Amino acid sequence: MTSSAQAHSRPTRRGQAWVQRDGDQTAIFNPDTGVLHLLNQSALAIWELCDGATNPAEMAEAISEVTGLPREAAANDVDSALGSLQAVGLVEV
Amino acid sequence: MTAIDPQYFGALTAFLSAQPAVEVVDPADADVCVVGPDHLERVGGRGAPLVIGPDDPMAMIAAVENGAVGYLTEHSSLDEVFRAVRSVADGEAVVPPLMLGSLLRHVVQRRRAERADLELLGSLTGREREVFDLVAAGLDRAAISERLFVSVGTVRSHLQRVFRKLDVHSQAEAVALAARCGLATSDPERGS
Repeated sequence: MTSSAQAHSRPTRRGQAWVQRDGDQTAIFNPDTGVLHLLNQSALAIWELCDGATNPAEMAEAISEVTGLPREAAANDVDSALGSLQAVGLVEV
Repeated sequence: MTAIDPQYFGALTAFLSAQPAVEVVDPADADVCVVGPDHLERVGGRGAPLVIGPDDPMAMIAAVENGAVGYLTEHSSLDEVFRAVRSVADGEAVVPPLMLGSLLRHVVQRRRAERADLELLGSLTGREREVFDLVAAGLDRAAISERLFVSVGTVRSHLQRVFRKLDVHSQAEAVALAARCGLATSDPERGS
């Protein structure tokens, strides 16, 4: 998918992931794939934003406002996280 | 520090006082002010507010919207508070990891509403925008007619169109929309 197309995408969480939280660690089990994934704070927050209605630019804008990260850096983090989440089947872009 | 519980306050003060590079001082001189959510509005001076409050995302969001730079739940250990104090002092925002998603969703929704409001304002003509700005600044129809050198009836017509385009039903709602868009809600010519 091109950067332009990805910018307008509305990523969606896939399947009925089962979330187990233990302190700062979050394990997400995807029953569709049978695989358990460990997500850090940033990846979890981005995964939670994948509601099918929020585009990557909105995610980056919000992360930039909350964390103080420059917009471009936040956008790079979002793209990277979405790519990883998509690769393991937790998000459909 | 103005904490929720006096015993917790005492333990936290003693713990932080014993930490390297941390000095417990008066709020007016503090880089970081540790407070309960009900005391957030009392934080003045240069101290960045770090709120210790309920394990509730809505309470966290309210604290952040009211200026908190950091938020920890009441279940946080003294070590976690110490690390948060240092992070906030270094200019970082601190929220509980499991609440970050809630805060981001809130910011996304708020920004969408702001963009929607700005889009509505963009639909106004130049004259309608002049009238809206004066309504948002608190002027009544008579004052607006004087300011724009038109009749009160003309002002009323403009206002009907403005309110319809903006989907507001009163001056109060117009003022609220102006505030959400970051527009002035006082009349600069009156100095109020």
